[in-house]
Amino acid sequence: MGIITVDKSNHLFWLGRYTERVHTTLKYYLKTADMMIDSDPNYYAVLCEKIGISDVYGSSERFKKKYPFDETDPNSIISNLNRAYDNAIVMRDYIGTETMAYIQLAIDDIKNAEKSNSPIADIMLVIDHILAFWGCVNDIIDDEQIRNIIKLGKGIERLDLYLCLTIPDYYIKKEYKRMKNFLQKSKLRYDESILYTLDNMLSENELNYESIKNLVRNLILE
Amino acid sequence: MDDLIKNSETINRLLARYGVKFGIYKNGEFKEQLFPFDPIPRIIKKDEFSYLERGLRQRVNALNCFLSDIYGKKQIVRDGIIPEEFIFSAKGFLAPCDGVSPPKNIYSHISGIDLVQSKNDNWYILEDNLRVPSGASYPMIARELQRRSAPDVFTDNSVADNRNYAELLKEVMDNVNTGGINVILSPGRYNAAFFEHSYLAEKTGAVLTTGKDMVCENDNLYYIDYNGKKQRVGAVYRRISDEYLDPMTFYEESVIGIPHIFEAYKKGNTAIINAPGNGVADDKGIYYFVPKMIKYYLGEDAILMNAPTYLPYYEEDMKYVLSNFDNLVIKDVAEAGGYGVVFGRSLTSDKKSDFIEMLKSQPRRFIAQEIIDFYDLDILDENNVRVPRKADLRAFVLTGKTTKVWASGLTRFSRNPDSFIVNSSQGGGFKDTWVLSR
Amino acid sequence: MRGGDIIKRLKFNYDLTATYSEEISNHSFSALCIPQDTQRQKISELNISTDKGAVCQITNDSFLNKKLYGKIKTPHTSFGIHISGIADTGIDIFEEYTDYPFGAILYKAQTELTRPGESLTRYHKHFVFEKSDGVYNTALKIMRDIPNVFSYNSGSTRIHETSESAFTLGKGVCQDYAHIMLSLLRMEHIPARYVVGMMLGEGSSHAWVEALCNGYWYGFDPTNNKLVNDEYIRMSCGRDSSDCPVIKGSFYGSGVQNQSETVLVEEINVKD
Repeated sequence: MGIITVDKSNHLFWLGRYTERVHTTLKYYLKTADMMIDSDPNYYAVLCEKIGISDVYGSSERFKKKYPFDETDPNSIISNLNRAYDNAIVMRDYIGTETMAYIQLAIDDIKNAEKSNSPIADIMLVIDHILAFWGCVNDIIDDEQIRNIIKLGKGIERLDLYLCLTIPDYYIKKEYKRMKNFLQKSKLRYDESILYTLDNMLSENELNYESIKNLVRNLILE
Repeated sequence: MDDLIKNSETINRLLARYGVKFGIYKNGEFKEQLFPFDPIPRIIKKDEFSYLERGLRQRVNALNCFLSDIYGKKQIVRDGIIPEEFIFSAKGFLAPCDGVSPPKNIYSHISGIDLVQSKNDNWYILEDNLRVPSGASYPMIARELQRRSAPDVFTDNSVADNRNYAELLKEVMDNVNTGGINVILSPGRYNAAFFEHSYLAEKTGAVLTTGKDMVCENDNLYYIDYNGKKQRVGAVYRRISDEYLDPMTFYEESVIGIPHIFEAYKKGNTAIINAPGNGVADDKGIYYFVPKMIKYYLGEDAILMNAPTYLPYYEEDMKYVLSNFDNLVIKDVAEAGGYGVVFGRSLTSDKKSDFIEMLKSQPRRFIAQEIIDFYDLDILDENNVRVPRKADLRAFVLTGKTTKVWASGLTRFSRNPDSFIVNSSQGGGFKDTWVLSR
Repeated sequence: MRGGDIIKRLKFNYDLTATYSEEISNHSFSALCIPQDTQRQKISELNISTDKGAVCQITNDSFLNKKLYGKIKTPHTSFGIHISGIADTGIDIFEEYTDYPFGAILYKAQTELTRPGESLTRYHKHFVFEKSDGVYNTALKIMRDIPNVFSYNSGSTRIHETSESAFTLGKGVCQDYAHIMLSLLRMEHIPARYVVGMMLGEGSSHAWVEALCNGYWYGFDPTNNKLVNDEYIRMSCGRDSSDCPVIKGSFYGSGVQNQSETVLVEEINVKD
């Protein structure tokens, strides 16, 4: 293969980002649902604020029903999964029919969960299929660069979400290191001065989450 | 066979899993739909297939001769075999192609020939599709999945493996490749057949691309990577129609083509699959003349029959059409996809007289055919009951070093018991087509 | 019928400027505006120039017109083509028919733009042609009659208007005159083609018709009701106006293209 156009590298990068966004937001949705049982019935509002989406839900019940399933809500999990699908479907010849199938299966899972009697339990299948998708990325895609662009997208998105969610710095540092590894191998263009600054900031003991987040968002060049 | 029927739900689920869909526009919105699959295959016996094979090879070879003649010396017109009105005023005749010979002089690399079988077991050709015939990917993937869900059925019946389509297609591309990579040029994600474009790219190792990622320089065609590095393109299997291929030669407003690709093609620097200009040969009006072409170019009698067809253009045929109007199906030569087809007997008397007026004033625009009494194929209805339905067969004939017929095909059926129209755009479904190897 | 002794020497300047309402880039273009040698005209001192660093090539299209085509990579808001040279005209009054590329068959068929509808069919019926007229006089009769039913008006028809709708309107420009004449000639089964060129004293390009009469292409200018003579310089021909666009363009950007032409054809003294 070895030939990737600008459009194709964008699709791969965003495929990585959207699958990761689905994966991590879903994990936090499950955590939020758990919190709302007996510790903080309005915890969902905290989640919304952290990940920067407006609280259009109004109640924890509506949040539980809408956030994963509502296709008309651009911030919903299904909307992000559909975006992952849109980026995957144009890359069939690069990632393979087998790999792509797991995105389709995740969409099917989420739709089945919506209709199910125990949506929150059933929605966990989505995570299984996203993990299977990443397994296929590793296992089936021969071209190293293609794999690394997808993983770079995944790494950047995870770092961004973790920073939003103010996850302990140990995890931020770990994810940053992984992301950097993919950044070099992906051969995508990035801002070297930003990377240098990030290196310095991440070696500090106390992390400045807000500044790091802004820098990460500007790291990759168009 | 019962295994297949039992597993039909599994197959449909698997087809969904692998994204076997086609796009459709409804009220201006793009939607993806599953292509309904019926588990009962059409079975073609070995002898029967070798008869079809001979007939199809002959037909496609003659059509290739015809295209080369029309864009060259035009001898068949000069010899009075085909009236000039049927060629030069046809939309499919593209003047820019005149005098241009494609690599290895092959015009129709991938021909989709539609056939039906009548109750008395005769096969008839319904139409030739020599531009961008689609559909091979569906039986390919359906077979793959059926072999998984009911392996024993395939152990017991010797069915020719149809998954070699990708190899055949690659051979066809490599054969005319002028040096460089093979690409599949798609209009993009929102095209009805995008599944097929991406699946065939995956299976043939060709690069799936859109016009935006290619450029012509010094009459050479290149594919550009994210660094701006260029890679020469030796063969373009394009899945966009002629008019959109090159805004500098054809439709100027096209945004899915590649400016100046036609110059690269004209100079022999890239192959275009199928060649531009083929529309002149698969026109419904030209269909009538194909048996005459076979005689003219190959000196042979046609092995496969046309459906009995009349050209109102000829006075004698017009008389016949007018006096047998109710028994005929009238087709507008400019339409495709099951549109522009009228059954004489289904018209109210008002509409009938209007239609006859139109027929008289524009005789060149229509052909009339006897209605063939189709041999119906069983399908499973919503309640899993076998019911007979109209079906046709699209055979794929691939011309590389030699002309080969793919030992399978796309069998399309109408889900509506009263309809003859099998097109997917009008709600039809598909079946696998088995060619028995013993 | 040979008129070989009247030779005019014409100096021509053809300027085409395309302007865009917004900046465009990745601009591909092709243009049909280069006069070439025919039996009627000899071109010398031909000078072709383009601006904005366009990379150009010239090729023959399928009608054997000289097609200038190329690309401009850098963003711009205007693009110009300038063609100049000397044309010796009137060397012959006709052009001999050659079988290449199409033969005449192609030019007998009506096209999307010339296919007659009701009003042209009715108009055609009023002509009375005699067997003895021959093809040339039939063409002449048609040209002579058109001004009786069609008049010149520059704002009423669109580019690539069909002959039927222009005729129904009753007025139009040289392109419409030529299309109407093509329709009628082809209804008489006379092979006929559309011609674009320049004319002495005209400030923009002009269109006329050539009809194949007894093995020779003769030029008829229905707009001026005049036989094509040594005041005309031919640039391109085709089945109708859609085969002879002076310029085509494809580019990135939302700019709207506006084009303007300046043509100057002057007679100069034939030396010696």
